[in-house]
Amino acid sequence: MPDSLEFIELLKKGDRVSFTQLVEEYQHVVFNTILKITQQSHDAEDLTQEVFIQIYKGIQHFRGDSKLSTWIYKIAYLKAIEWERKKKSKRSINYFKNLIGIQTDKEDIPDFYHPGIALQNKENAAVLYKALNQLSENQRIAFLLIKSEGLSYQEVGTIMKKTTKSIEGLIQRANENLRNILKETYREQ
Amino acid sequence: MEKNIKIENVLNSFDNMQPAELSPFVKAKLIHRIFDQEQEFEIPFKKSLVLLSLCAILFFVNAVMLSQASEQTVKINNHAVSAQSEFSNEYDLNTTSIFYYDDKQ
Repeated sequence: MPDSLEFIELLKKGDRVSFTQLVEEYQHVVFNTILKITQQSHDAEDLTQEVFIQIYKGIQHFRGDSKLSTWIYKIAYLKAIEWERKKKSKRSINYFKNLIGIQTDKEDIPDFYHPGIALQNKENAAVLYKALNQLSENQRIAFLLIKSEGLSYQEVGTIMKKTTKSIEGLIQRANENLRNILKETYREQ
Repeated sequence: MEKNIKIENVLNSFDNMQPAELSPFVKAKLIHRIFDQEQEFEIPFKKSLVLLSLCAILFFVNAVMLSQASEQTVKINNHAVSAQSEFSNEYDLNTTSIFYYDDKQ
């Protein structure tokens, strides 16, 4: 139903019932994708709202080249990345401010516990998130979208504007790097 | 060996992950915010449109009044100039006549 042409046409006409249906269908997908990237529940909620506003405004530009779900994933991914980049630049500004003696609020990055992870896996998942944060942006996001969202390489390629081959390469390098990071982590313990 | 098992467990810890739930409050707010932002846009847009038309009307009225005022000024000026020239003609005649009489006296 959400990918049918009729449904998309209704969305383009601004039909509120259809849009409410779309929100019902995809709110968890959007929220979870953003949450896994940002690792901040409150910000993920705000960004989810922004994503749906963007979808509502931009549905006219959806050409149907990809599945509607892939298009929605793409918007969510771009929003999360934008948020993360802003956060990173804020951190580097604060770092330089501290260097020249200007006091800034210290930001501790707490361990992230995803609420949907089974209790017995919670500690391991927190370790995995910590290791993931040490990977490059592309490797981390490709890994998250494939391993935890269960998307195909092709879909992730469309979302990240990369070929399927390069996504395969990213996943392979992400796995290798994660293993090395985890080996180091357990060597220290 | 034990370390490798640990690493594998960590790498597979995302398996069977359940989606995180959005809080009911956020869910309820979500739909409202999406449709409200249309109004949020519409209301200031309409307001600014009304303000803009008011400004245009004021500008037009002002321009009409200014042009009328300048017409009046031109009329008054013309009137004043003609009055002045009339007066000066009369004055010249009078003075000539005064001088004439003076001369006579």
